[in-house]
Order: sequence, then structure tokens, then C-alpha cells
Amino acid sequence: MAAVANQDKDAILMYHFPRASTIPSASPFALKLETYFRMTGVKYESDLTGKFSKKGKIPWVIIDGKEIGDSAFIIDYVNNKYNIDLDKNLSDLDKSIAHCFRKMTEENTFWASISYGRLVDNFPWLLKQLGVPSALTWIAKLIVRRRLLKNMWGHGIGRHNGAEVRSIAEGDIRSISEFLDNKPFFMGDQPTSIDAVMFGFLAELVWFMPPQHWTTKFVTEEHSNIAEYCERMKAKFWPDWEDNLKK
Amino acid sequence: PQPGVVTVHEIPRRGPIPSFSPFALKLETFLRMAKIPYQVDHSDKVSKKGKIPWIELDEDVISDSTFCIEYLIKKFAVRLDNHLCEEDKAIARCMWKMIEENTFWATVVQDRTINHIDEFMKICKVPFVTVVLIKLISVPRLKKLMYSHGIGRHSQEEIRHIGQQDLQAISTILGTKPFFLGDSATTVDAVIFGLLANLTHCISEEAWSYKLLKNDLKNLDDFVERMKDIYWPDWNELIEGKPNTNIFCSQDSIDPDAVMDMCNEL
Repeated sequence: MAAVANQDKDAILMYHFPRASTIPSASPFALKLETYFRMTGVKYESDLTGKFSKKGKIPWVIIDGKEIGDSAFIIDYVNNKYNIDLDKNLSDLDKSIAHCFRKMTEENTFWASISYGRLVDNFPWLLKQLGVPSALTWIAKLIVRRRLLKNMWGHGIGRHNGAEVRSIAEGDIRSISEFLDNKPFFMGDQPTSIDAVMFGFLAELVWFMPPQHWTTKFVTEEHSNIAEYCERMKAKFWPDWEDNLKK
Repeated sequence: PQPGVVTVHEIPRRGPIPSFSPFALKLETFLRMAKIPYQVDHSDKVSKKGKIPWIELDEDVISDSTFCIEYLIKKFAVRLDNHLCEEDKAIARCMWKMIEENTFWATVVQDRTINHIDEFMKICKVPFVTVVLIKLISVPRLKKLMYSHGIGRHSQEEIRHIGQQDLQAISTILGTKPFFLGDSATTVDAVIFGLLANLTHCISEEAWSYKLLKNDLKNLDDFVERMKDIYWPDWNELIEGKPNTNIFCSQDSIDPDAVMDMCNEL
């Protein structure tokens, strides 16, 4: 897909992966960022060519002529620039709790559930979803998967066996489910910035994990408040979900 | 190792702290909180995951300090966290994971070990030749690990900001309470103490994490001192290298029944 030709100069240009078949983005960080833009009404346009930032990561944006990587830094920058505060009605205590949940999800649960489930296990499924020709599977495994496994070793999570990793992921997801309980949004009655994070991550577990993967059943049956929450967020902020899937 | 007694395999004690590994300090603090008698073995063998500390109890060998704690909770029916509601247990878990998977890298690894390596080596009285080796081999390796993790791709200022946000968040959650989840200590207090004590007792005073805890987030500094007073009354003896006579941590034989009698009296 070509980059947008006539970019609205007020719109932020967001670089991320091409659309997937069952979810707008295979990356929980890109989905979080796009959801956040929709929650705040900030105008954005997508470059879906899959170009990586200077830090080697996706998503990233160009705002005010500057390249900004890392979804969290992008959100901070946009909040400052447009004077947005989705969390203005939260107490400092609630903001701090939300912060800890965000960090656990992004620095731990992400590795133990999504990375592990799609890269360590089931890698050919992911390649097929991303449209990588099967002739290139072997080289993708040799280069890309090896590098990703090395990253996971460096992080620490790669040193555990599959059962241990699963128990780590289950513990984290269970905590998210317990904390969410039957609230409409993560912190209460109104959506706040943590909802972009949580939806970005949990939607991946609901809609884009390998077939029969334990995470999908975990969030749709054993902890169904998570799947219900995702449906609510999808209805509210992604009414055009179907239009943003790979045809 | 003595049958029936937990043996903790960890790095030797050095420096002004019983362990300059936040994970070993967390594990020992937990054992003391749970009143589980234990011995330490400092002969430096790493587990098969390349990690230390690890524990042994009779035939059971467990690696990774968090798995060790989960094992001990089951094995000894530890009830420290039983009174917590589900929401508090969830909050405890996300603080635990943030501290170990995020804050640790920005503070202990980047700030203490990479940015202020000289002072850290000096505080721990590491011999010159070892310092040279550490700078040549360990520090580049740590930088590579941080790059793999992701956090190492940020600038110094961004890493500091990341760590500061985490510490600010737990300071707000602690508030004026004596422990993170209320009036009694729970497992997550051992986790957080393991990290914070290293940032107030075993680090260069020029490090931003030290300054932040000492000048701005004073409730966290007070929390460290509180935990130290309660669970480490033998702190000074241990760091002076004196033979350990504490019931929880002895290299001599322990009579588990005698220990339980003493615990019941406490």
C-alpha cells in the first residue's frame, strides 16, 4: 500500500504495519496508538508500508517535522501539543495504579503472551498472516525469529520454559480481569488513557492469536469480562473496524 | 545442605547491604517475613537458567526468585497475602512486575551499574582487576541486554524519565501507609524493598535514583528503613562480615523445631 499522497497538513502521519485480516493491526502498540487518536479526536493518517523507526521499532510518527518513536512518548507529545488530558478526572492514586498496569502489560504480559504465542510458537502462522511468501519462511525463521528470540533472552522471559511462561501470562491476565471486574472501562465509568493501552493489548488476545491458542479461550471464556470489554471499546471507538481489515 | 531446611544459593555478601542483587535481597526478605528458616550458600553456582539466586529444599531445586517465592508460599502455606481483596492482589502484581521488568533496568542496571560503575565498584570494595574485567565484559553485555529488552534504545534522559515515572507511581500508591497494601507487610513489600534498598544503600550518591529517593520521594526512603529495622535487625553484622548468628540465616546447622519455637514466641 502506498503512503498517503496528499497528506492533510494538520494530520499526524503514523507509520505502522499493514492491516491484518481479523484486526486493524498485528501490533498492540500500534493498535493502542490508533485507538488513542480515535479517543481524543486527533487527526491522523496511516502509512502502512511497514517502515521501521530509527530505534528499529513500530509504530512511529512524524509531527512538527520530527520523527517520534515509542507509543508512550508519542502520546505524551500529542497530549502536550494539543493540551489533551484523558485522565483529568482521575485521582493521583488512580493514575499511579493505571501506570503500573500499563507497565506490567507492556513490559511483561506482552512478552509472555503475544511474543511467545506468535514468535516462539506458531511462527509460520504469523508469517502467513503477514503475507510472507512460504518460500521465504526459512530465511525469516533464521534471521528474524532468531533475533526476536535473542531479544527475549536478553529481556529474561526467554529463559523460562513454555509452561512457566504460560503461568506468568495467566497470572498477569487474571490480575487485569480481576481489576477490571464489571466496570465499563478500566478505571471506572469513563474511558481514560489506560483503556487505549488495555484495548490495544487485549484485542490482540481476542482477535489475533494463532488458532486454538490458550490465550483466546482464557479471555473469552474463563475471564469473559475481558472479551466483553473489548467488544465495548470496539463498538465505541472502532465502528469502522471491518473497513480497517485486510481484504 | 541440611535436610528440611531451605538453602538459598546467592552471590557472596559484599558492600554496605546484605545483597547487592535486588532479587536475592527480595527472596531473603520474603523468607524472613514468612518466618521460614533458611541457610545461605555463597559458592556462586548459577542455576541452569543462568540466573542466581536459586533455592534447594531436599530434592526440589527452584530457579528464578519469583518462582522460588511461589513455591515457598505453597510449600509452607504462607498466609501473608490471604487477607487481600482481589483488587489489591491485582495491584500488588502489577507493581511487582513493573518493578522487576521495567524499573530495575532504568535504575539498578542503567543508573547504578552503567552510569556510575566506578562508585558502585568502590562501595562494594571490588578488587581492581575484577573492576577492569567488569568494565570490559559485563557492562557492554548489560548494554546489549538493555537493547534487546527495548529500554536501551532510548536516550539517557528518556531512560531516567521512565524510571522516575515508575518510582513516582509507587510513591503515590504507598502514600502515608506503613506498607504498600496497608498496615501489615505482604509479599510485594519484599519485592519493592529488594530494589529500593539497593538504590538507597548501595549506589553512588550522584545517581539520579538515589537523589530522587532521598530528596523527593521520602516516603519510599522511610519505607526502606522501616523494612530494614523489622526484617534485618542483623543488617550491620552481615555487612561487617561477622559470623551470622541470626536464626533465619545461618551457615551452621539449624534445628527447624527450635526455630519454630522461637518464631511462635515472637
